[in-house]
Amino acid sequence: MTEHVLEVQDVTKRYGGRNDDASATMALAGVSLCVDAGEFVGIMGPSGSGKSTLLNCISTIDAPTSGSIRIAGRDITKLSSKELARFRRDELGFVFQDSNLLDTLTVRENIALALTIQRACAREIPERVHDAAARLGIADILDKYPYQISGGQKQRAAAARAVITHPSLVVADEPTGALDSKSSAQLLETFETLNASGSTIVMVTHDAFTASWCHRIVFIKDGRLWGQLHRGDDARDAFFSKIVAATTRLGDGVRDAR
Amino acid sequence: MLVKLAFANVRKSARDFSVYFFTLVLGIAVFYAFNSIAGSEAVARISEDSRSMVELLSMVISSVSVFIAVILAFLAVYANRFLVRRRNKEFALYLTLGMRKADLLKVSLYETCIVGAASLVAGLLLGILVSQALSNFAASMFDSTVEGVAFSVSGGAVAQTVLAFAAIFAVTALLNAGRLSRSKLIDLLQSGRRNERMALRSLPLSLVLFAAACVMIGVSYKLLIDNGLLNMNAQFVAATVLVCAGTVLFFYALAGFLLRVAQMVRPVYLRGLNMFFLRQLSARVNSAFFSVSVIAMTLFLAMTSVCGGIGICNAMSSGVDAGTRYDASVSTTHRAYDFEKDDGSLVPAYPEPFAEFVRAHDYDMARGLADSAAAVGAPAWDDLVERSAQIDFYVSDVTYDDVRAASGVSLLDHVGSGLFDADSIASTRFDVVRLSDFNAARELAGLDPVSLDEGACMLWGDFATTAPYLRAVAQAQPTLSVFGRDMRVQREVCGETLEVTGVAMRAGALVVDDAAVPADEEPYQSVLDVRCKPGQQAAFGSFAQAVASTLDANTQPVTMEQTASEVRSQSQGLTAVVSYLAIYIGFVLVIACAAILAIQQLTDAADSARRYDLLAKLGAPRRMIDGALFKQVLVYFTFPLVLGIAHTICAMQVVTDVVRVFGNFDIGMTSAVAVAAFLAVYGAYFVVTYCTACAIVRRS
Repeated sequence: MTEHVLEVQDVTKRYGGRNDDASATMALAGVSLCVDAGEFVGIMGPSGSGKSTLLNCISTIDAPTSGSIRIAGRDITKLSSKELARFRRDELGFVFQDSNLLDTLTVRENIALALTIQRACAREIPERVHDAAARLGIADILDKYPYQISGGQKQRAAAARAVITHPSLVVADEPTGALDSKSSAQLLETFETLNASGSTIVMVTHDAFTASWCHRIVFIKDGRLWGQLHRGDDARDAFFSKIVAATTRLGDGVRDAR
Repeated sequence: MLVKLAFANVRKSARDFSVYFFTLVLGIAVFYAFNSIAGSEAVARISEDSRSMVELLSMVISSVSVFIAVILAFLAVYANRFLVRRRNKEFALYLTLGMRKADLLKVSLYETCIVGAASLVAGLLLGILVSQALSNFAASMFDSTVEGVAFSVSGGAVAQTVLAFAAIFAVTALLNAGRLSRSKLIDLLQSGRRNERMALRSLPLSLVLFAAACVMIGVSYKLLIDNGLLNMNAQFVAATVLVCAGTVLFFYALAGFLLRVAQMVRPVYLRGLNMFFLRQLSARVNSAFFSVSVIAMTLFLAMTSVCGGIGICNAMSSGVDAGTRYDASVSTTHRAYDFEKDDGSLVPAYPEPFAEFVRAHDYDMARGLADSAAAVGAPAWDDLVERSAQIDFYVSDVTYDDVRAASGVSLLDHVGSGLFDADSIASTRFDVVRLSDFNAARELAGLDPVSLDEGACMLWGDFATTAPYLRAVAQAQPTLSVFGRDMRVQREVCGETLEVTGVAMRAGALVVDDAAVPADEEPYQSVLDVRCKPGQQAAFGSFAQAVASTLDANTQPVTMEQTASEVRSQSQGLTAVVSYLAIYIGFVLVIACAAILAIQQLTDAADSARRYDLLAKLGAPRRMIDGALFKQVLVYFTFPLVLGIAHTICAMQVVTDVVRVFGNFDIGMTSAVAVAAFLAVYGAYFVVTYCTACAIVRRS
């Protein structure tokens, strides 16, 4: 049996009320999925489908009501808050919609922060930061402050921060949400590069263009798994068409339900 | 409707209002408590002669209260401004919903009124409680015979407090309204999103600025110590300006300096959240450096006034034992310095008929006073007095300049500058006292008599300010020409006070062999030290007073009379006045400083909550984040304190010289107590701020 990097098993998340209470909202109603090492997986779904809740549960920011989530072989639903902090630090990398760089720190320091929190050896840090930045094409803006660089550059800096600790899993929440199409493409190419060099990426998006960079798309609707699309050997535009078709049917489904 | 909204707002943002509210309540309580002392029931029960001290106290306190009110007004405005800034978004929401600006102003006004009224009530209640403790304590301090406690509310003080704070609230509301009516909707909406521009200077510049600040402060210290406290000249002004500018520059450059220094030490900078915390500091510097400088200066003022105040008390009470070796002292000044001629000559201090009486009694005060008893209808001398000893003071022909020439020791080198005028001190003469007078007075006080070596004289002075000078002169053992006779100054110096007095101020006298004083020399002053018959001290006091005030020329002229119990109660009273003032001012200032720092830090924590949230998401453990917060709060609380203490230590060098006029005191002990009290209040604020900041960050 191959070891999955991420193994989500029958996860539910309920907001408010009890199980049998009508007022309770089921954000996730039993979701299971696996992600293997080296995969680049997209999670798609309409607003309110539960995709962000799922991502929050995976990234340990939120805890599921039931079910288990295993990352790198550890069940994160059973970790204490102290262990969770350590887990996030060592096993996860984050890229948020708004890059969430600290505005008081330079780009270099923002990237280094992930390492200093790990208490990595101070002598190695400058070199590792520089390598990561070079890989992501942001070596020339390392000494600038976040307010001095473009949105695309910010997201690439955030990506550098996410991967510099060599996490088991990189979690991206609508990373292109605030970017124009050119910057989006650049960022996604960056993700592709990172993925090619070994990073496992799970990305939530509602945008078919962004999703077309992934190897596999998981669709979520009303808190349940609705279907999957594998890219296989498709070219990106072909995959894009398939995704658009799928999202259309997904949207129809929503209308049917009404 | 608007009132209801205002009420709802206050309830809703109770947490935000709480710092403002808490600060106001403390301010009001302290203000009331101190202003109510004189009008309180407890103080009304203390005896008549101590009450004048209480009146003095209340007079001084009410004038100092104007100054305190200004500080509290500043504090209230400051706290309120933070409060309003935190609610800009809320105000923007009202405006977008279509509320008119006039209505918004009204809501804000109502809110100020509600919080003001609530804090006034709470503050007065707390103040009334505190004032009971304070006034009963004051009563026992002024007059130890008051027993039990009394409860009272002073209407005058309540009115005063309400009036002062109504004015403060009016100013706050006005400034609020002004700010709100000027602000634009877009600014209100986007407030909090704007970043402060980082003023990060290059490494050399940071170092240079910081070094410049330190140099400026150092130079100002030197100027102040050279100049002293009492010379209000250009040098003093320069020292003041330099220390202010240096302090401001210090805090302006501090964050950049710390950041740059840390960046040079990579293992420190790249460890945990050090980088984040230092950047956070330097990002805040532009908005914070000025207020932190003001806080440092205020702490300095507070500490200096408290240390100085306690020093004065300490000095005066240390002098009490030395100044009450006898039951009473009566002094007669025969001749006084002629200020009209101003050439060192003396004029008679009393009219000729009195002089005849004195001459008739051969300058013998005991005999003179005994013969005056009948004239003022007092009991016979022998019924009042058990024993007495008289010291005659003669003007010598030895000036301070002569002593400097003979010994190489100058008075000006041994006292704080500004205390004496160089020209007039040079021609001032030493007193001369006969050994037999001196030893008789010593014996009456229960002190061992002193002996003089052959052809020697001894220096005597009980003025704390000149004591180091006298010791230095004695060390040099110069030979002086006294009334035409050469005498060597003995190495040992006498410092005992040989009269009943609250303030020992005998600057310098030469104790000489009786034969050295020419027979025709007349004393310029005589002091009679008296040991009374048991229980007759008060009677003797009123007798001496009567002799002093009678116009009957057939009595002894008396310049001063003091009994030991008068000295004690005066010293107690003055001690109480000074220490109350010092505590009042010091307490308010420290509270103000700590409150401003707390408000700043809490606002900062709330503003940075998103950043801390991100750190948590990146996997920084709780303890690491709390540690970064701790360091930040610590720096903000410590550096103004450290600089304030440094300023205080420097200022105390010169304040000490002035305080020494009141007598000897132990500045080490004094400052230790003061610093401990400060650290307690300040530390409490620090702990509360840190815990609250942690809670704010954790909640996000």
